[in-house]
Amino acid sequence: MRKKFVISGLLAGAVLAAMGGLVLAQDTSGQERLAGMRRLSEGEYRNTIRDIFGASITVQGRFEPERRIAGLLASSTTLLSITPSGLDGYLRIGDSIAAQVVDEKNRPRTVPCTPRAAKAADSACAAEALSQFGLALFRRPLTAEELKIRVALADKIAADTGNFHNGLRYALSSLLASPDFLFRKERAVPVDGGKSWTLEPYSRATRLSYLLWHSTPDVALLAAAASGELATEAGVAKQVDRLMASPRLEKGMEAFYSDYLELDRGGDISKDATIYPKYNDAVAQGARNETMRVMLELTLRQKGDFRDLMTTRKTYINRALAPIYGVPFNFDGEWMPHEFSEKDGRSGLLTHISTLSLFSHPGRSSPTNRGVAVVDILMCQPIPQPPGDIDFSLINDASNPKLKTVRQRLSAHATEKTCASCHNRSDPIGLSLEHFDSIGAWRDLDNGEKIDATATLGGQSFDGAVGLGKVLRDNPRFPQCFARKMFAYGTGGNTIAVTPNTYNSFLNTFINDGYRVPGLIRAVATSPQFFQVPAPVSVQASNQKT
Amino acid sequence: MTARVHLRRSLAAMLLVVCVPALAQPASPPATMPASSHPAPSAPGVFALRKQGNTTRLVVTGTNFTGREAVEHYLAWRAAEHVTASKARWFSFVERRIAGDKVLTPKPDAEGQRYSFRLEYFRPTWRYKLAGSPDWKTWRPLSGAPFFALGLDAKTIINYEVSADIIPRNGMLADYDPLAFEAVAVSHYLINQVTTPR
Amino acid sequence: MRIIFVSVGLIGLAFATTPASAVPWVRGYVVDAYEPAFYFGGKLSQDDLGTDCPKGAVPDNDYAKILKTSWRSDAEVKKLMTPVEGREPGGIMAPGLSYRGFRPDIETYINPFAAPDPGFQQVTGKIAEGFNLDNNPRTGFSGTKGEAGIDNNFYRVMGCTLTYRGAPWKGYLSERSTDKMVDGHYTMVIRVSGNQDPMNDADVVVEVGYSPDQMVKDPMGKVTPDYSYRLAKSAQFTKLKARIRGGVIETEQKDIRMPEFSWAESNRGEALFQKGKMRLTMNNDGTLLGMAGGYRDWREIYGRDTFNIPSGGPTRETFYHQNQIGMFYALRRNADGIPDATTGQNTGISTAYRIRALPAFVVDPRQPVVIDQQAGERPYQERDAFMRALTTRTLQAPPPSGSGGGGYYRSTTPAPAPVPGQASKSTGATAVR
Repeated sequence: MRKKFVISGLLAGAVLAAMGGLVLAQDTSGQERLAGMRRLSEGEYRNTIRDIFGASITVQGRFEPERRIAGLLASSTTLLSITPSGLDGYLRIGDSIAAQVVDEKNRPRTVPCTPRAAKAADSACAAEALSQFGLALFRRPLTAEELKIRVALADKIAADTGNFHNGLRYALSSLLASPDFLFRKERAVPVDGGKSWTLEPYSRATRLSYLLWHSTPDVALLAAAASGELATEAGVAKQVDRLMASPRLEKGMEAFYSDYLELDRGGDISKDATIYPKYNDAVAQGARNETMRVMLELTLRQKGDFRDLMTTRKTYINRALAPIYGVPFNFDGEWMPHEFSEKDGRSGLLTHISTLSLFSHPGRSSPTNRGVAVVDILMCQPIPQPPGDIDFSLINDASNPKLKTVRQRLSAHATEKTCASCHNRSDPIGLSLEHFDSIGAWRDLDNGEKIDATATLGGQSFDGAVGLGKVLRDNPRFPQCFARKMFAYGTGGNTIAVTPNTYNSFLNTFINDGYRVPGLIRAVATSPQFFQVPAPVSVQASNQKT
Repeated sequence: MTARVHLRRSLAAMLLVVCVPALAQPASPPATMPASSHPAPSAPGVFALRKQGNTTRLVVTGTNFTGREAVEHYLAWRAAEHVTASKARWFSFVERRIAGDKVLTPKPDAEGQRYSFRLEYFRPTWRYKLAGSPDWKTWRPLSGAPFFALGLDAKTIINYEVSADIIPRNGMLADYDPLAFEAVAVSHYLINQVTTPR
Repeated sequence: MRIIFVSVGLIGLAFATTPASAVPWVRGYVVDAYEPAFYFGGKLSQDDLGTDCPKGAVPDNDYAKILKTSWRSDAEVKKLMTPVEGREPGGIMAPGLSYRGFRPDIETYINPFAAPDPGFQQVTGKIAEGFNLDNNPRTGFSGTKGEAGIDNNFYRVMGCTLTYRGAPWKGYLSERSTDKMVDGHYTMVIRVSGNQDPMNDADVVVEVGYSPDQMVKDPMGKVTPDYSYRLAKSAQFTKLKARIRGGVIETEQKDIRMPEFSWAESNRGEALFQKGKMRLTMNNDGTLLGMAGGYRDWREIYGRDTFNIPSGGPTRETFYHQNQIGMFYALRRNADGIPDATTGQNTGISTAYRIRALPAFVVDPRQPVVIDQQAGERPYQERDAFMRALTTRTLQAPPPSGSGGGGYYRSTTPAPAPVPGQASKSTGATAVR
C-alpha cells in the first residue's frame, strides 16, 4: 500500500510529526504491531464528528470516493488510500471543524477548560483539551510525544496571534488531519506465543463501535479498553451487550444493511423519464428508506426470522412510493404501514421498488441484472462480468417481432454456450420477477405479450416473485451469506474469504436462534475470530528469516 | 374645436365645483314624483313625466340654469331611476326626427364595441325663455343648430323645460344599439354627479 | 409516450375500481388543467379572426383615450404615457389608469361606475360551450353539438379578450393558471363513486373540492397520476348526486363550491357556481374531461380579475390590453341570473369551466384540513371597498397605502390633478353659468 501525502501550510509540521509516531502507540511489551489501516468512510467520519463534538458542528466538503469489493464498500476500506487532492479535502474539512469547535458560541460545550488568559498561550489548558480531543479522535490516548508536538503548536500560534483558541484550533486541525484519525489503525498483539494475532483493546473498541453504532467508541468503551476489560471475552461480551442495548444499534445496522443490499447506489439510478414518468428523486430516496424500515423493523424491533425478508408482505409506504405500488396513501404521518394482499404478487425485499429499480436498465427491466444481484448479493456467489466480445444486439432489440419479450430474447441469447453457464444461474431468478417493470410497478404485459414468470432453479419450479421468495427463504446460502457479509463488514475483509472455519460458530448460533439477527450480531461481535488478524507483514517477514 | 365642445368642457368644469361635496353622500332625491299623463308644469325645479303608449316623456323644468350638461345628466339620471322603479331593466331613447334634421341617426359602434350606455346619444329637447323675452324658444339637438345662437348668452336663461321620450324595457339590453341605456349603469354613473335643478 | 400513458392510467384504474357491476366502486381524480370553457372560433392564435370574434382578440388599448377625462388635459395624458427607463407601462400609468372618473379624486378600479362606459368588444358568435342553466332553450347560445339554450355569458363578455381567448388549454391565462396550479398554487380533486357499473350507473355521487396536497410533476413536466390526495371538506367542497350513461357523468343542478380558476395568490379561493352542474366524461385512457358550470357572482369575477398581486388592474390594462372599466360594465349588463332579492338586479353571470383530471387516489383526511390561504392583503381590502361602493352606490376611498405587495401597480393617490377650473383655463374656455 502506497500513500502519497501532500501537505501544505501551517499543518505540515504537525502532520509529519504525527506520522512520525505512526507505528506504535501503547505497546509496552514491544510486541504490538500495526495489523491494518481502514480509512473512515464518509458516514463514519460524519457520525464520529457528531458524536465527539455535537450535532451543531457541520461537516462540509468532498470525501474520497468509496469502492465496493465482493459486495461491500466496507471491504475496500482496508485498501483505500488518500490521494493528494483527497488529503486537501480532508484538511479543509478538518480545519472547518476545528474552527467551529473553538468558536465562541460552541466553546463552553466543546473545550474542556478555560485558559488563564484568552489572549495568551496556556500550555496546561491546551494539554488538557488536546489530550481529550486526541483520545476521542485517535480512539486511543495520545503518546507523550504526540501531545507535546500539539501543545507546542498551540502555544506558538496562540503567542503569535495573541489568541489562545486560535492556537487550539490549529492543534486540533492537526489531529483531524492525522492518519491516526482518518484511518482506523488496527494494532495487534501475538497470542499463544505468536501462533496467531489478535487486536489490542483500543482496536477492539473501535471495531465493535463502528460495527454496532457506525461511529467512534464512546467514553465507556474507551475506558473498557484502557482497563484491559476488552482484552477478555467476558469484558467484550459485557460491552457488546451494552452497545446492543442502545438504540444506536439501529444506526449501526442501517449502515450495514445499506452496504449489504447496495442501497447506497440508489441515488445514482437514472430512469428514462419518457417511459417511467413516475420515477424521481423522491421515489429513489423513499425506496431506500422503505427497504431500510422493513429490515430494521423485522430484524431488530420484531426480532423476527431473518429469512422472512424474502417473503414478508408487510412494508412501509410514503406518498411518493404509493403511486408505483398502486395504493392510496393515508397521510397519517409520512410513512404508513402497509401489507400487500396475496394477489398483489409482492414478496419481500426483492419486490421492493428499491431493489427492482436498482437492478434494472434505465428503460426496461433486466432479468439478468436482477438474477445476478440475487446470486451475488444474497447468495455470495459472484457471477463474472460477460466477456468483452459478446454481441448484445439480440437482447437489446425489442422491435424483433419474433422475440417480443425479454424471456424470448434471453433464451435465444443463452443458446450460445459461453453465455449459458452464467445466464442459467441468473436468468430464472430474474424472469420470475418480470411482472415488475424497471421501477418496480406491476405489469401484466411485456411489449404487448402476456408475461410468463415461471422459473426453475436448482430443480425447483416456481411462479413469480412469491414463488422465488419462498425458494430463496429456504435456501441455506441466504442466511449463511448474510452472516459472512456481516463478519466481512465488521472486519473490513472480503466476504468470499470468510470461510467455514471462521463463520461456522456464529452461523450455527444464528440458525439455532431461529435466524434472529440480534443473536447473530452478538455472536459475530463476541467471537474470537472477530478480533483475529493475520500476522503482521513485518512479523511474517522476520519469522521467515529466522 | 367647436363652440359646442368648448361649452361642454366649461360645464364639466363647473360641475366639478358643484359636485365636490357630494363624494360621501348621493344627490338629494327630487321632492316630488308627479303623477303621469299630465303636461309638464313649468314651475321651477319640478320634475314631470307622462306616458304615451309604452313611451314615457320625462321633463325637467327650472328657473336657475346651471348648464346644459348638468340639466341633461339630471334628466338622464331621473330616467334611469324611473325605469328601475317601474321594474324595467333598460330604456330606449326615442329620437323624434322631422324633415330637415341634419344630425345623423347614430349607428352601432363600427368596431363592434358594446356599451351599457352612451350618454352622448341621450339628446333631450330644450325649451327656454331668456331674460327680457316672454317667448319660449325651442332647441332640438337633432336639428344640427347650435344650442345657443351666436351673440346670445346662456346665462340669460330664466326658465327652461328639458324633455326626453324613453321606452322602458326588460330582458337583455340591446347593447349594440346606441340609443339603449341600461338603467342601473346610468343611475350608478350619475348618482354621485347630479344635483336637483332649481 | 401516449401508449405508456394509457397503460399507466389503466394501472391506476385497476386499483381504484372494482370492475364488477352492482358493487360499490370509486374513482379518484386530480385536476391537472382547469380553464374557462370558451369556444374558440379561430385556428391557433388568440388573434385569429373567427366566428366567435370576427375581429380577433380585442385591439391594443388606446391609452390616450382611456386616460382622457373631462378634468385631465392632453398634456397631462401625454405625461402619464411617457416611458420611463427601467419601469413597466403598468407601473408608469398606474396613477393615471387608477383615476379616470368624473372627478380627479375617484379611484376607478374600486368605483368603476364613476367612469363612463368605454365599451367592450364581446363575443358575437352563436356557439358556446356550457350548460342550459336556466332550462330555457330560447336564451343563450347554441352548443357545439347544436344543443339549444347554452348559457355562458361570461364567455360572451370575456371570450375575445387577449388573455382569455385561445384554443382549448392554450389561452394565456389558462396556461398561466394551470402552470401555477400544477406547481402547487392549489389542488382540486374529484371523487366519483357509484353502486352499479362505472360506465352506466344511476346512483352516483360526485365530490369536488380542494386538497392540501400538491401535485407531483414528472421529469417531463406533466402531472404524475396515481398519487394520493386528501379531499378537504371545506368551503371549496361540494357533493352532488349524479348519473352515468356511457361513461358520461351528469350531476344534478345545485350550488357548487369548488376552487377558483386562479393565476395569482390573491385571486385563489372558493368559487361558487349557483345552480351549478357538472358533466364529466371518463375516458378510456383513465382521464376525466368535462365541464363545471353555473352562475357566478359577476362582481367576484371582476374583483378577482382586477384586484390581485401581481397582475391587478393596471397590469391587466397595459400588458394584456383589457379595459377593466369596460369589463365591469360588460359583466354587469350580461349578468343573466340570480337576481338580488331587493334590487332585482342579476348578481349571477352564466359560466362554464373546462376540467381535465388524471387518475388519483382521493382519500378522506384523518385530521381536519386547513386551506392554506393568505387573506387580508391589499387585494382583499380593495375587493371589499369595491363591493361597498357598488352596494351603497357611494364612492369609496382606496385602502391606505402600505398594504400592497411588491410589484403591485396600484396608486392610492391620484396623479397630480388640476385644481378645479385650471383645466378649463388651459383649454381656453370660460365657465358658463
